[in-house]
Formats: sequence, C-alpha cells, structure tokens
Amino acid sequence: MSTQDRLPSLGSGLGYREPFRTDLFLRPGAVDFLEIVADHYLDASREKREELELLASQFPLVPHALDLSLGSAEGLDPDYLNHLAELVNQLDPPWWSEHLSLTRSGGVEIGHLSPLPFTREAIDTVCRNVEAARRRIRAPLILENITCPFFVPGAEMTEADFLAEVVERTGCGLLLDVTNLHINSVNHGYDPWHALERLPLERVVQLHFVGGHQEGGTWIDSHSHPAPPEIWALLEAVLAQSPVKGIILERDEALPPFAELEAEVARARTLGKKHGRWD
Amino acid sequence: MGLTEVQQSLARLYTDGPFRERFFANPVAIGEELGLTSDEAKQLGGSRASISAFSRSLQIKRMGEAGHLLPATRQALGARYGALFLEYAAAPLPAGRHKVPQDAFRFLCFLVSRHQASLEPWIVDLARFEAAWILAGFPTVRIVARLFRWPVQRLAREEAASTKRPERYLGIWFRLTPRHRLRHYWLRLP
Amino acid sequence: MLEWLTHNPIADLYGPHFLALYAGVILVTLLLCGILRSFTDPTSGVPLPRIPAEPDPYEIAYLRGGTAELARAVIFHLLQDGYLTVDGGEEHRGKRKPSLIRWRDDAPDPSCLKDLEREVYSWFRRGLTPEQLFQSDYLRRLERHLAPYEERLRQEQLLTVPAQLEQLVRLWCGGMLAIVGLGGYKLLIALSRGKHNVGFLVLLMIVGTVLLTIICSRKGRLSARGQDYLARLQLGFGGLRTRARSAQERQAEPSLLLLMSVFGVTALGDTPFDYYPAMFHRSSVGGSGGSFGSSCGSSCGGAGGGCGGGGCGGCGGG
Repeated sequence: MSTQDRLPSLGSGLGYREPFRTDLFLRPGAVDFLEIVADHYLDASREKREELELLASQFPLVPHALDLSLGSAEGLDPDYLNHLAELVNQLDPPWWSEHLSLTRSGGVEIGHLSPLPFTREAIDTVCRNVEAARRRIRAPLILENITCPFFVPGAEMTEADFLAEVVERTGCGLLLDVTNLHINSVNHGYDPWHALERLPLERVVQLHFVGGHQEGGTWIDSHSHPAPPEIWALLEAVLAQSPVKGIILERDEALPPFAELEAEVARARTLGKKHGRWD
Repeated sequence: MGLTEVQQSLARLYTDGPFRERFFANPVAIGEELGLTSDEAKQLGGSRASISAFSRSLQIKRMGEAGHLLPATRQALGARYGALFLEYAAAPLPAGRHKVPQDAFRFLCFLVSRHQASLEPWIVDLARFEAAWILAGFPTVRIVARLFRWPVQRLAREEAASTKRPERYLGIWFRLTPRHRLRHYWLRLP
Repeated sequence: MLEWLTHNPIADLYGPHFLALYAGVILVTLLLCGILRSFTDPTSGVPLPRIPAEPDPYEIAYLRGGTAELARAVIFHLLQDGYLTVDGGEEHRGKRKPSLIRWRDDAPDPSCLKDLEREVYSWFRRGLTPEQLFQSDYLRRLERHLAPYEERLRQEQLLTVPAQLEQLVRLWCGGMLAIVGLGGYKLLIALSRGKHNVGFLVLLMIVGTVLLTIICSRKGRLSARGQDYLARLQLGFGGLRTRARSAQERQAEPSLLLLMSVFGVTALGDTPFDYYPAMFHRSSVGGSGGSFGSSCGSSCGGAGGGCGGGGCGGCGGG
C-alpha cells in the first residue's frame, strides 16, 4: 500500500474564508473538510488562534501555504519555514499543500505566485526545497499547479511534463487545480485534455476548482464565479481516473449566498461518490 | 548565470516599474548588470507584454488582498480606491509573514498623510479607524488610542451615511499580552 | 508572653519600613491567591464541547444569563412568531420604546407551543410591562422547566459548582488573615503607643482587602469551561450580527433568536427589533469579552501577525 493509499478520504469542502464562518456552523453538513490558508495563522493573535482551534474542533483541516516559494533557487526562508512547521505539526493534518511557484527572490517580495521555468534546473531546485520542508514538517506534502500568465522563457518541457517529473522525483502527491489547468490551456492555446493525459493522475491527492472570468479574451484566475461546465468536465474526468481524497472549492471573491457554495460542494461530493472516491 | 539570476531579475521586473522600463529599453545591457547571459536577457526582453501584464495583475491582487482588511474605507472611496491604491503600490510590498496586513495598514496611513486634503474628512477618519483595528490586531501591539471626529463605528457599519454629522469619540484598543484577547473601548466625547 | 506580643521585630519595626514590608506581603498574598484561584476551577483547560449541529437558543440563553435571560429569549421568540405583541410606550431619539407586552389578537393556536413557551405565553394574558415581569414571581414559575437545561450544562461542566465557592471563601479567608491580620496587629500596636499617623497603613489594608475580594470573587455562574464555551459560540456565530441588520420584522428569522441568545438583547439594537433592548434594559449576565466592536473588527481585528519595527506606529494624527 503506497503512502497515498493510506491517506484518508476527506470528501468535498471549501477553502475557508472568514465570511463563511457562521454559515459553516449553521449548516455543519455543508462541508466534509476545510482547507485553511496557513499564512493567516502564522504567529497569530489570540483571536486567530481561537478561530483555528474552533475550526479544528469541528472540521478536518488541511493547511494550504502560499509563501514558502518552493521554486526559489535561493532556498527557503527559514523564518517562514519555522512558523509553518510549527503550525502544520501542531494541526497534524492528513496532508498539507503548497504551490510550485516563486514568491520572492533577491530580497524582493513578488506578492503572489509567479511561474517557474519548466527546466531541469528548476526541478532540481524544487526537489531540494521540498526535501528541506520535509525535514521540518511531518505530514505529507502535496504540490499544486498554478496559473501561468506567461511561460518563463527557456522552457525545456511542457508544464504537464514538468509537473510529472517534479512529482516523480519528490514523491509528493499532486494538488491538481483543474481551473488553473484549464486557464493555462485556453490562454496559451493548447488542449487541456491532452495536458491532462500527460499528468501522473495516479498521484492526484486533492483537487481545487472554481470559476474565473475573461478579460479581453484572456481567462483570469479570479476565484470569483461558479465553475463553468468545462471545469466540471475536467473535474469529473480526473475523479474517474485518480484516487482523489478530497476536493476543495476555492471561492474568494464576489461571494454569493452560502447556499450556492454549498450546492457546488455538494455537486463535487456527488461526483466523488459516483466514481467511488468516498461513501 | 542560472536560475538564481533569472529569478532575481524577474522579481525586479514584476515589481519595479522604472526598472522594468529600463530593462526593456536595453535588455542585454541591463541583463549583463544582473548577471544574465545574453540569451537569457534576450528571452526575457521578448516577454515585455507578458511580464508587464503579470506585473499589473500582481498589483490588482495586492489591491484586492489589502481591500479585504479595509472594507469600509474601500467602500467609502468607491471608484477612487483603485487609483489611490495603485499610486501607493509604487512602494514595494512589505516583507515577512504579515505582509498583507502591513500593506493594508501602510496604505491607510498613506491616505491619511498624503490625501487628507483631497478626501472627505469622514473618510480620512474612517481610514484611521480601520488602520487602528489592523494595528491593534498584531499580537505584539499592546495599546492603541485614537481620537475620532466622526461616528466611524456607525460609518463602518454603513449607518449614519446619509447624515455624516461630526461626533467625537475616543477609541482604545488594548491587549495585555499576546496570549490575551484584544479589548476595544469606545467612548463618546462631548 | 505579653512582653513578646508587644515587643518583637514586627511590632518594633520602624513605620515606613513596616509599610514597605506590608506592601510586599500584600502583593505576595494577592499573587498567591490569584494563582491558587485558578486551581479552584478544575474545568480550566478541559477541551470544550463541540458547537452542536442544531444549537438550542434557549439552552444558550440559560447558559449565558440564567432564568432571566431564558425568559427574555422565550418572550422574543413569541413576539417573532406572532403570539405576543408590544404596545404603548414612547418615542425617544427617534426610537420606539414600547412599554407593554400582551397577547396578539390574531395569535396562532398556543397548543403548538412547547411547555416552557406556553408557560411564558400565559403570563401576558392581560399584558405586562418588563418591570412588572421582573419584579414579580413570574420567573420562579419557570423553575420547573429548567431542570433539563441545568442538568445538561452541569454534565458538560459549564456551570460553577458549590464546592468551588467554598474553596474561594477559604482562599479569601486565608488572604484576609494575612492582610488584615498583619495590618490590624500593627495598627493596634501603633495606637497603643500613641502613634496616630496610621493613614497609609489603613489605606494599604483597605486596598489589599478590596483587591483580594476581587481576586477571590466568583466570576458569574459560568465555570472557566463555560466561559470559554460561550466565547466559542460567540466566535462561531459572530456573523449573525451582520446578517441581523437585514432581517425583516414580519418574518420569523430564526437566526435572530440565536443571535439574541448568544449575544444578549443588546445585539438586537441594529435590527428591526431595536425596541427590544430598550424594553429589557437590564443587561444580560456573562458573556466573554474580546469584543471587536464594530463590524470592521472581524476582518481588521483578526489580521494576525507582527507589525514589527517597520514604522507601523503612525496613522494616529488628524
């Protein structure tokens, strides 16, 4: 039995945002688990710690980090890693996640996830950084694909091949963001289904999905709309082929009534059940 | 020359407008200063549109994240919020674990210090109010005290918006130790 | 023996030196009592109960404020559901402050009500003001309905137990022995020697006694676990405050009852039921602090993390 096989099936849930809090307690069956943004709870105030304790007492939690910068050739920020390790080890989740991205370099904070070049050197860098994180954090790490508004020049392979090789060499599971996969394919003019075929779907542990919006023909990963049919199709295709353990709806902006989010989460749950991922 | 130099260059290109203009005007020369090979510099030089667009998206993302922490000021500013934030965002994003609240706080201070004359007085007070909440929220901050000339608590809750009569208040935020809860006291003054 | 009682290192200690020693004794006594006090409540640090999937507003109101708060919750529910209505009163600063609660003429059939609700409903046949309600024995009539709530809350260790009170009294007595014992002894010695400049000594004794009483006083009905659990409920349901402002008076919005139960009648101040806090001006008991105040607080106040030394101390002018 592989490490991935031993992971529990969590079901369908939401990326936790504070405006959802009361609704989560008024409708506790709406989600099976929550994904929390780890950065919100690092060196936190008492109020944030109490919020985290409250959520942890009621829901399975999976921490999702934003700023570890796993793709950074300069290595990991030790201060950030220390605090992140403290948080994740304290929560003892079934897994935690980070992005295959760069968020700082040369003392400059980029402020968001920026793409990595799809090169062997970048793969080596990610492997080193993942190993450094593993030495501090016990729970399994899964890696997420990001949107690439542009591809860093000098690519030696496609994004799908890059993801496949990173996952293969690190042994990490994959957090497949089907929305990001779709956005990259549309914006860069390739077939998402072809890209999906090249991914190591057997390594997918968790899925992210949400809707974005278009500006002048370019798709923006704004997390601001319900998922469109194309995303649902990709989601279901992955569920049919991968031993997915959890699905998270990542809605951040233009928040609708909670019942609408609950409906999307329920739909994802039903799809997971249909493909035998959970009961 | 390798990934480190490319990433450092990209980080500057994403976040430093004047530097970006200089680089794309002469990528090979500037690239050499950064430790890039000629090929690397040319490749980056050919990505002007993409990098500029990404840089813009970073600013919009930064604006959105800060905006979550100052909802009342953002709403009060309305259409002016974007332009004002982008003017502020010429300054680099703060470093560290708490960059977003620090960024929001600094933006509010920027509004108060640089745009006090051009903004409605109640909006300036509202910005000071939300800045005080952010500052008091940091676990290392013990006490924050502010005098307000407007009923900012009600304005933040979108009440009294139609009247907007001045009313003086003293707001005190107090946290005994990082392990204690934040206490907030609000006193109407004559 | 008598000689020793009137002449010993304490009795003969020079006044100002004794005051310094006495202040130290008071401080140590207060610190010790403060530490020992935490041991009188064995529920401190015990993991909290989960927030129930279907929280009972009446149980929460009873937890927070006892019988009176439970009565207020039931009355509010009956008002919401159209069994009761309010009348009379006056306008004050543009706000309505009714004075009378009575049966609605077109009230639904009360046989659908729970026993507790039917009991409360029966009080208002001829109409009652809140003052009449709390000055009479109506609340005592609720006692037979309280047993299930009381039992559940005690099972969960959310209420203080009599043994805790006894321990606090013992602690207080011990502290008083030290403070008043030592101070009183020196006072007697001073007076017996014709020294009347004992003002500071008396003041220290009074201050020490007051502080000791505060430290040893029982902080409400709730145990430490109960206070933390209430704080957890308020954290979990804090969003109800924002939601309440858009509640329609004519609709029996169930979240308003839960809001009132968790936060007290004052939470209705921003709702179409803003007359309710004015009617029941006696504030609810208990409730944890950590208030964020405005609606801003839930987003601004939660911003975790250190400002550090990077010049964040500004923005205070204007």
